[in-house]
Amino acid sequence: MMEAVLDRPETMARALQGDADSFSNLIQPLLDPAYRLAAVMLNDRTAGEDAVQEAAIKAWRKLRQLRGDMQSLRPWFMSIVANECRMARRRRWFSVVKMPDVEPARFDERSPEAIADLQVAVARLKPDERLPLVLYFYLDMPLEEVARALHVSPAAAKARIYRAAHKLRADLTLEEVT
Amino acid sequence: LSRESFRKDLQRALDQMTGSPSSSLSDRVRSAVDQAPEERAPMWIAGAAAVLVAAIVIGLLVIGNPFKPPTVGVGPGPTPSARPSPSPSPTPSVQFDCVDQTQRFGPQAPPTAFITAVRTGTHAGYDRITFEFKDTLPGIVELHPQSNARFTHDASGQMETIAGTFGLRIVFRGADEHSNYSGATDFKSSYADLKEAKAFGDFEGVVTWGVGLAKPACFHVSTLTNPARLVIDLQNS
Repeated sequence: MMEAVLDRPETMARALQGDADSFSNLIQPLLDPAYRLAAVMLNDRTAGEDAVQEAAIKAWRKLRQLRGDMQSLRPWFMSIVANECRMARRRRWFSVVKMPDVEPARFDERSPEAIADLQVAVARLKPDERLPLVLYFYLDMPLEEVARALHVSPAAAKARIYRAAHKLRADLTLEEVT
Repeated sequence: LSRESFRKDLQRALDQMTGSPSSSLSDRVRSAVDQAPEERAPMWIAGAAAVLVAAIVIGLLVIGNPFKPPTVGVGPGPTPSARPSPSPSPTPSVQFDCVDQTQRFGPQAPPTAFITAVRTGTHAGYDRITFEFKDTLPGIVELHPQSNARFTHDASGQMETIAGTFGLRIVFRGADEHSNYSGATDFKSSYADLKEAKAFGDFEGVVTWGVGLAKPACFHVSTLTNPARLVIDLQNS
């Protein structure tokens, strides 16, 4: 789906000329991963959808920043979604909850309890730790795109992914992560 | 193998957390983008537009010749409007009102409209506050301009002064803010007119918001659908 859009520079050209429909078509394939990112970052499905909607409006207004670079569309849009999630978290400060401590797992576990523990462990990560993890492992974005979305170098992105993953699974090594 | 098993576990865990986006998300985004005001014109276009507007204004002044003595008509003239005329609008198509207003969206509206989101923003000529509702708009919306930014909390009766010199009290009748809304209930901003918007009541189907303003409230109300939204634009120039 993503590749199909990347092959349509004329859609980007029309969007840059102010065609809202073309812009909506352009980001359509990104809405599902954007929602998943926002829902994990906010730990709230409804708030995740709201964040995606707001991010889409901001992306539409800032589309010229992309300078027609289709290859950067996905990391660029994901960084806007992540930023919108940051703002949404600031607005709902009162919803911060204390999660119970969970020891990092040390071996391959797939029981429902282990999955539930993993969810709690993800929720306990700081947002800046959660973001690279979600982009890389959950949304399967290549390291270079994760780096662009985080506005850091690939080496720094790799380190952040490793640090976050290590908190969830202590026996992972840097080489295994990327 | 370890990395792949970790990826699979994580994907399974996060899939359970997120579920799938609702089927309406795509339409929501499309509708929001369609209605989003564009702010992407380069500065030279804004400059050219300003020059053009100035030329038109000067042309109208020359043609209208305001220094010419007015012609006194004979017989009954047009009935003056009872409503005070609004100050000049930055967007000619928008008419801002500066007096109490009640908008009715019933009677087909169901008894309760659930607020799901509240947003504020600023644009050329106006600041905006948007209330988004789950299914439909409330039956009645009242807008009461006031000469201060002092509002009463519905439940306690306590008075509170928020940022701003003037105010606008917004009352939704047949609405609910506590069931589907967990967002902010106090927005502070440095916009030209809208300084603060704060929830002051959510009791027995009546939701009240107070808006603190830099100048007397002149506003324009509009509605949007899919999702249902009430948009209040506050003239800021």
